[in-house]
Amino acid sequence: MTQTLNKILLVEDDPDIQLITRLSLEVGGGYEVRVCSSGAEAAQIAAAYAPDMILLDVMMPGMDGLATMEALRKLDGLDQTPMVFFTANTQQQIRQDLLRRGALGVIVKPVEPSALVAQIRALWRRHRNPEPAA
Amino acid sequence: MKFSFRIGIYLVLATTIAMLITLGGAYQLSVTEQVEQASAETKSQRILAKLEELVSARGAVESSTLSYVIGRSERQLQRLGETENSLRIEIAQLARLVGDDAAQRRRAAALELAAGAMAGMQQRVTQLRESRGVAAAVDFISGDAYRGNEREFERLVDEMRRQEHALDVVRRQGIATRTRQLGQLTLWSGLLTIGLALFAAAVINRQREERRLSEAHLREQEKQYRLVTGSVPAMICYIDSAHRMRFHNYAIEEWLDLPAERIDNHHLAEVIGTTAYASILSEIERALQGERVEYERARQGAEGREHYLAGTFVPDFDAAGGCVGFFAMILDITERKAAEEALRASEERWKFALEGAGDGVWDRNIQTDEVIYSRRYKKMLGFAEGEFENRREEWESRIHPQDRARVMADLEAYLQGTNPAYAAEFRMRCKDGSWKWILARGMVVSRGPAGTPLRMIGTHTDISARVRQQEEISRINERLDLALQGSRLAIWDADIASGRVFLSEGWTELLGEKPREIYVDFASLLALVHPDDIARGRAELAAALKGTSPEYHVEYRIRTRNGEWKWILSHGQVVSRDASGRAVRMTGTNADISSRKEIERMKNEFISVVSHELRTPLSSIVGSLGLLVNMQGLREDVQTLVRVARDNSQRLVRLINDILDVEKLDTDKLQIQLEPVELGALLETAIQANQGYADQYGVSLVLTSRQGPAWVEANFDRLMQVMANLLSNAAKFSPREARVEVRLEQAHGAVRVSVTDPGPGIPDEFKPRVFDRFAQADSSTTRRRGGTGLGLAICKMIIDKLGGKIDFVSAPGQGTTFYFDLPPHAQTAQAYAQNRGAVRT
Repeated sequence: MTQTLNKILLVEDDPDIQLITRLSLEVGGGYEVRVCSSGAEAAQIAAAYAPDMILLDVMMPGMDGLATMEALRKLDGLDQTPMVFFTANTQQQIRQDLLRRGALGVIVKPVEPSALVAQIRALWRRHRNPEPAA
Repeated sequence: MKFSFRIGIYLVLATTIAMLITLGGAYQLSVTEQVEQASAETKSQRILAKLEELVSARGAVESSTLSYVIGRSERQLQRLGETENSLRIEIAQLARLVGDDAAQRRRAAALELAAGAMAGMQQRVTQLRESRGVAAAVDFISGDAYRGNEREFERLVDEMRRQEHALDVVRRQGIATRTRQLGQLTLWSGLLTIGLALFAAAVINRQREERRLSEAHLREQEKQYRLVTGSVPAMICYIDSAHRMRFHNYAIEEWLDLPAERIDNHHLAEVIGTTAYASILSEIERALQGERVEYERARQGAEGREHYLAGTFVPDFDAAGGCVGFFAMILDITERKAAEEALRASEERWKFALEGAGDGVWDRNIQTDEVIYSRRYKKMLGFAEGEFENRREEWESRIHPQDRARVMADLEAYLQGTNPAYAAEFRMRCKDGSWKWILARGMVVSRGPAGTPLRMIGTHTDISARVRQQEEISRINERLDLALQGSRLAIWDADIASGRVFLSEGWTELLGEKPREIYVDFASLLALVHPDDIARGRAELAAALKGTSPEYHVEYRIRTRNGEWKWILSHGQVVSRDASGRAVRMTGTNADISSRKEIERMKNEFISVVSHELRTPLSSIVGSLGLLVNMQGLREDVQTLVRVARDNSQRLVRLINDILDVEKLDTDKLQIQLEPVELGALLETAIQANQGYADQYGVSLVLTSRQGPAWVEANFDRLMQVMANLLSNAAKFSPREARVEVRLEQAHGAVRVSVTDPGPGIPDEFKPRVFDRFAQADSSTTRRRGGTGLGLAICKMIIDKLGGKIDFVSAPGQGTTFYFDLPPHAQTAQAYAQNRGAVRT
């Protein structure tokens, strides 16, 4: 497992968000970002790309974020890769559901580029040093 | 008896014949006549004797009638038949004896007729005795028809007697004339004296004999009479005009406990005592004036007990129509009286009982339509005792015309046996003209032999108040029904002990059935409820029943008839409890809130869609502006514009977030999960998190006071949200370089967190609206400070949900302190600390 966060796979159908998120992560965080427009596309390239973290939009046409996560988990080397969701839905229930299904975190849109980078960093730290169960 | 009488006659005849022989048969024709006349004379005597026997026989019939009336035994009835028979035989014999005299023959025939009529009346007496009892029979006996027959009988006998006497006298006169003629013829004869002497002796002897015979006959008759009356339990006697007892039966001796010789021929005062005598003197005098008298007296018997005596005095007239005495028949009616008294007492009792209940009582003689109305009955209608006639018509005329026909029909149906009971409600006109609602109930208490109703008793109850109440209730119900129809509400009324629930029409309508009121048990009601809602409903119900919550208020779904689910808002409260505080009855309403729920659902969907649809483009704006702001090499004016755009986009995000929070808190959708929170640590974290924001205003956030660990049961994230709002507010309103102080204190059983800023303070006029939504002191502040106007409203909603209290103190120019109190949770805190300790070790 890599010690530092380097490669991020972004799965997002909205081209504007794709651009802004990619720029935020590349410019603000200095990460290498690979963008996919759908779950299906992600499933094709993810194994080969071997990202350190996968950032998924929840609501997407075709495979939604959750289905994509479950598809990617089955791929070689991706079963332990941290997955973070990106959603405009603030409903607690959905958020908790995602966490229960194994998501590392949920980032609520819209988010400031700097705040996005800060949240990604925090999540990576938590992933690297998980808290002991209370 | 008759033999010795004949000897006398023959003596006279022998003398006459001897005289005639002495005269030498000179008066041959006279002798023949004399023989004939003597024979006629003998016949007269026989007829007279027969008449006496006839009187005696009739007396026997009367006595045996009376015996039967009193004793009513088969033997007495048989005896009555026998006496009647012998009376008929006597009359037949008489008819034969008087066959040669036309007038007498007619009378004998009349007597036969009278005897026949009498036989008919005897039959009537026995019938009366059978059907209506002693009194009626006795009444009949002493009635005009019966007595008329008796008088007719006596008159006929009397006439026959007189006729026979007249015939006798004529015959005897003839004899005397001829004797005188004979005497003249034999004046000279010495035998004349002997003949006269013999004749005189014969006459004297005959007269004496006659008297003797007559007395013997009377004694015999009296003996018979006494024998007959002796068997009668009634006291019977004859009292003459001098108030002397002339005849009495055994019952009199028994009653007075006196021997016969001290009664007969004694003055009544001697026999019954002066007091008793005085008490009936007026009746005696009336009887002796020819009046038939009846009376009742209480009298002490020889044994000392009080008796009730019923006396009947029947006057006795002589041929001239003068009253010569009277027959007295006295019955001991003590037992009858006692029975009557018992009946009267029992009637008094039920009347009292009925009147005691406030009812009026009526007692109607159905044959005569005479009705006794009780005092209360009359008073109910406003009448005094004498103002209401004791007639059925008085009642009937006062029934409301609209009710009359119905009431009469009901009554008639009851009397005819068509209806098993009589109970009617109707209006009656009172004395003052007003109307009262009356409930009449009654029953037939006495019927004739053929079942004809004779007497009916009943009550009147004033039900005006009840009727008014019923009318009022039905008016209220009508109003309620109309209101319920309009509101689509169903009323429920639950009996807790039995689990029975009444539901008004709205309920079945709500279930998609025909509207009707129903009673169901709680279990069947519960079966309609959506399984997901049962637990919540039960908890609410239990709290209301226990009294821990003052009202029952729950929303749940029920399955309608066609399988759809409808949302119901059930609202109610316990309306009565027993002595031990257990709920007895609970009522409330069920409202169909499906459409409201649908609107709510649509609103939620709308908000969720809006929030998502807003957020997605906003993400691009916020992201782009965020990247632009940090981009190097932009012109300064461009950079300023980009910053303005970025700040406002951030504000828009906060606004959307706050609106969503308010909506969630409002609809209870935000379920705050309680957990032990240590406020000291939370405040440190909050200060750290918000210092960056405060830096924009050049304000420092400082935790100035902290006393030990302060545990509360709350939610970390939500409290962080509250603190973010309070701290950002404080920072925004503080002058640059100012210090915002945060304190944590424990006092008065609560943990208090306060945030104090040295700002301008809150204007007095704004203070009441501080926690209102979109409330800001002035709209320019909003723009200048970049707030949403929802922050404090959200803080208050969260603190309220956590069971705490939020408030502020502020004076213009002296800064503001916002604070909130939360209840400490020592137990949870302790358990949490131990748990953590255990994990560590």
